[in-house]
Amino acid sequence: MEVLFKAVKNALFLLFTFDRDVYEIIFLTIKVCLTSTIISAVLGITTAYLVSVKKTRQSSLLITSINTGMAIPPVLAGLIITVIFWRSGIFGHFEILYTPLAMIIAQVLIAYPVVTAISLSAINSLPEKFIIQMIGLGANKIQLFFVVIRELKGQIFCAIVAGFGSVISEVGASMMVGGNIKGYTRVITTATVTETSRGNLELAFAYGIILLLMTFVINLLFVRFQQRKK
Amino acid sequence: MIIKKFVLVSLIFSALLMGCFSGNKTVILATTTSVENSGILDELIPLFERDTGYKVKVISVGSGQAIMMGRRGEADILLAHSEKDEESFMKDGFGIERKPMMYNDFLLVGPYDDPAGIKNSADILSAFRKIAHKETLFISRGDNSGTHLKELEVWKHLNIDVSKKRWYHETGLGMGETLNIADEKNGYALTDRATYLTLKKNLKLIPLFEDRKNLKNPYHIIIVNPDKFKKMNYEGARALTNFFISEDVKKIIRNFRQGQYQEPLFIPF
Amino acid sequence: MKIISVSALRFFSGKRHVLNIDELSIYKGERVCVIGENGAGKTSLILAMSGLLNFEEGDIFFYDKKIGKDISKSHYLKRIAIVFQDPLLVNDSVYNNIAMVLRFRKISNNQIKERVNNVLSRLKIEHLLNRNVNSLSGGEAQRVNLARAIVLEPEILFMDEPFSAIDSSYKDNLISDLSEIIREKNITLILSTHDRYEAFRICERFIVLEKGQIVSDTDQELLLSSPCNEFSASFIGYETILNGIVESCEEGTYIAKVGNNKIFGVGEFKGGDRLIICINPENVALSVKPIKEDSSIRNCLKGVVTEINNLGYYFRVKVNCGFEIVSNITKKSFDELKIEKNSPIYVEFKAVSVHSFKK
Repeated sequence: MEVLFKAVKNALFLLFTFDRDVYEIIFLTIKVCLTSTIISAVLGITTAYLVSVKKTRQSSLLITSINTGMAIPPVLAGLIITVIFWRSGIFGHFEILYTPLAMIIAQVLIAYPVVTAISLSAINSLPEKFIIQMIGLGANKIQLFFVVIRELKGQIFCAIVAGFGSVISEVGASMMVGGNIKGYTRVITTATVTETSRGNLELAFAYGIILLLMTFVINLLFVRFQQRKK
Repeated sequence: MIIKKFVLVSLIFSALLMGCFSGNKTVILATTTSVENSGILDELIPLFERDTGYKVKVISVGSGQAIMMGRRGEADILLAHSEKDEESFMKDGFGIERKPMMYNDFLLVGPYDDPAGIKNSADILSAFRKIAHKETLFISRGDNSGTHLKELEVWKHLNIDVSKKRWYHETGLGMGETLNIADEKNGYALTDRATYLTLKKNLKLIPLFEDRKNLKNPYHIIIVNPDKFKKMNYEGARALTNFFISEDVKKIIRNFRQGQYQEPLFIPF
Repeated sequence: MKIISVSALRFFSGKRHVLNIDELSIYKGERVCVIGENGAGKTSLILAMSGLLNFEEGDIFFYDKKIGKDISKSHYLKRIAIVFQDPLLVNDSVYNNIAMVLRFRKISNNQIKERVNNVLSRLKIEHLLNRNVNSLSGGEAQRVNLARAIVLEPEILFMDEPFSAIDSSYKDNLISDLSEIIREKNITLILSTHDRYEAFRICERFIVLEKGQIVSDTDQELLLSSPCNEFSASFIGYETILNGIVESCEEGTYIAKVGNNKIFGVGEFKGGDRLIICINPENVALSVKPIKEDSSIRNCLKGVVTEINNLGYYFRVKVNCGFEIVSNITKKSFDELKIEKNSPIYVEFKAVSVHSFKK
C-alpha cells in the first residue's frame, strides 16, 4: 500500500514539475497512439463499410479473419513487423525498425481489426433497407458512405475509442519494434516495464497512473467532442 | 465544411508522421538487460550523442538474442557478457573487433535462512551441489543470456541434468523479473552483481556465495563485421567503441552510483 | 407516353422465379397499384423498376431509354424516389432529413430551405421542422418520409406498402394529402399494398402478381366485378372463398359440389370445371329455420356457429357448414336470432350473389 501511496505522490510530482523525461514519454505516447488510431479508423471504417455494402462470396471468410485479427496478441503483431522491417527483411531498406513509425505500423495492425470488427457490426445493425432507401433517394457512393457513418457515429466512435484503448495499453509490440529507446521510442507502457525491472516500483506505478490519467483525459475529450456534435 | 475538417485532420496527421522518420546517423547497440537496467547507458549515451552527433538506439535483450541480432546484421555494435557465444561469433566472422569494456561478478543469492546451507561453501561447484542435493528451489532465467549460460556451465561441470528436476524452474525472463520471482518463492538464483544491487532495496534475498575471482562477469564490445552486412553503420560503431573504452568513460563507470550502493556496479578493464 | 416499361424481366432466387414478367408498360401520370400475396414478387418488382435490384435478365426502359445503356442508373435514380414501409430516417432533425436528399443532388442552400419549407407545409408538418426524428410518432415519421420523397419532385414515385405500419386514424388524412399532391404534380405512382381502401383511393390501374407473374392488369371496375384469382377476390373484399367442381349447368345457373354440399351460382360453365367460388359476407343471411321451398334464395346450408366478432355496426359470424362461410349481420338481427357459439344455424344466400370463376 505504501508503494501505491508513494506512486500517486510521485506521479503528481512528476506531472506538476513538468519533468522533461516524463513529458517526452507522454508526448511520444500520444503522438504514436493517436496516429495509429487515426490510420486504423480510416482504414477500419472503410473496410467495414466495403465488406458490409458489397456482400460477396468471400465476405464471411473476410469477416471471420477480421474477428480473428481482433484477438491478435500485440507481441505477434510486433514479431510480424520486426521480421518484415529487419535490415534483412523484405522492407529492410526503409530502415524503420526501432523508430516511432514502426511502432505506429505495429499498432495499426493491432487496432485495425478492432475498429473494423466493431464498425462492421455497427453497419450490419442498420435496417436492411436503409442503404437501398438512400440510393433510391439519389445518394451517390460517397454521399452514401458519409450518410451511413453519420448515422452510426456513436457506434463508430466507440470503435475508434476501443482501437485507441487497444494501442495505448499495449506493450509487447511497442517494446519489440520500437526497442524501448529512451527519448525516442520509449512510451508509457514500455517505460513502466523498464522501471519495474529496474526495481523502481514507485516510478513504474507513477507511469501507470499517468497512463490512466492520460487515457481518462483523452476519453473525456473524445466524449465532449461527440456530445458537442449532437 | 467536411472538406475543411478533412484538410485539418490531414495536416495534423502529416505533422504527426513527420517526426517519425530518422536520419541515417544512427547506431544500433544491442545489449543485455542487465546493462540497460543498471541505468549506466542513460548516463553514457547522451554524452556520446552530444559529442559526436550520432543517434544511438539501445535495444536491450538477453545476451543470446543480442548476439543473434549481430548475426543477422540487425545491430551495429554489441555489448554482451556471454564469453563462449561471443567467441564463436568472432570465429564465424560476424564481428571484426572485440574489446573488453568492464566487468563485475556473479552472485549466488537465496533466502535469508539458507535452507541448502550454501553459505561458506568452498567454491561455486560445492554450493550448486548442495542445492541439488537438498533439492531446494532454484530459479533460472532460461533465456540463453550470459548469466543463464554461466549457470548451465556450472551444472554441466557437476554432471547434473537440471532440465527435468522438479526443484529447477525456468522463467524465460530478464534478470530483474527472475530475481523478483526467486524472492517471492524463496528460491536460489544466480545473478550479476549490477542487477542485484539495483534491485536490492525491494528484495529479501541476500548474497550467499560470491567469488570475485572465479565468477567474473566480463562485458565485451563487439563491432559487427561491415563486410557481411552492407547496411551496417561501421563509422558509428567504431566511434562508440572508442568512446566506451576512453579514459573519461572508465572514470564514469567506476564512479557510477558508488554512493548509492557502497560498491561499484561495474569495474572498467 | 410510356414513362417506364419492363421487358422480359427475370429474377431468380436459387431456381425459383421471383419475377418473370414479359412486358409491362406504365404511362406518364398513371397511378398503378401492385397487389398480390406475400412472396408474389411485389417488392421485387418495385425494386427492379426503381433500379435498385440486380436482376438476371431483362431490361427496364425510362422514356424508351434503356437504363444502364442509354441512360445511366445513377441518372435515372435522380429522377425517381422510393418510399418503404418503415420511414428509414437518419438520426437528425426533420429539416436535415429532408434537406439531406436535396444535398445529394447538389442543390443550393437557399433553394433547399425554400423547398423543404414548401413540402413541410404541403404535408402539414411545418411544426415538426426542428424536431429530432426520434421524437416523432410512427405516423409523423412516415409523413416526413413522404415529404423527403416528394421534395425531390420525382417523375416516378415508388411506394412499397407505405401505410402498413400506420394507425388507421392517421392513415386516412395522410392518404388524402398524398393523393392530392400526386394528382396536382402529375407524379406517376407505383404502389404496392395489402389494403383495398388505400389502393382504391389512390390508384386506378391494378396489376395482380402471382408467383412473380402478372396474372391481371386491369382497372378498378373490372377488378371489382371479375376478380381473376383467389387473392384478388379476397383483396376486393370476398371473405368466403371456396373451391368447387361443377356438377351441372343449365340456363346460366350451375350447381357446384363444395365439400358435401351443393352451391347454386350464376355463370356458364361445363360439368367438371374447377371453380373458385366467392361470397361477400354482406350477402349472406342467417336464420334459425330453413327457408321455404319457393323462395328466390337458392342456397340454404346447415351449419354451426364457430366464431362471433362484434364489429360495432355489425357482427361478423363464421359458420362451419363443412367449410367456413362468413356472414355480416346487423346488430338488430343478431339480437333477434340469439346466436351463440356452437349453436346450429342456417346460412342463406342468392345464386346471383355467388361470384365464381374457373381456377
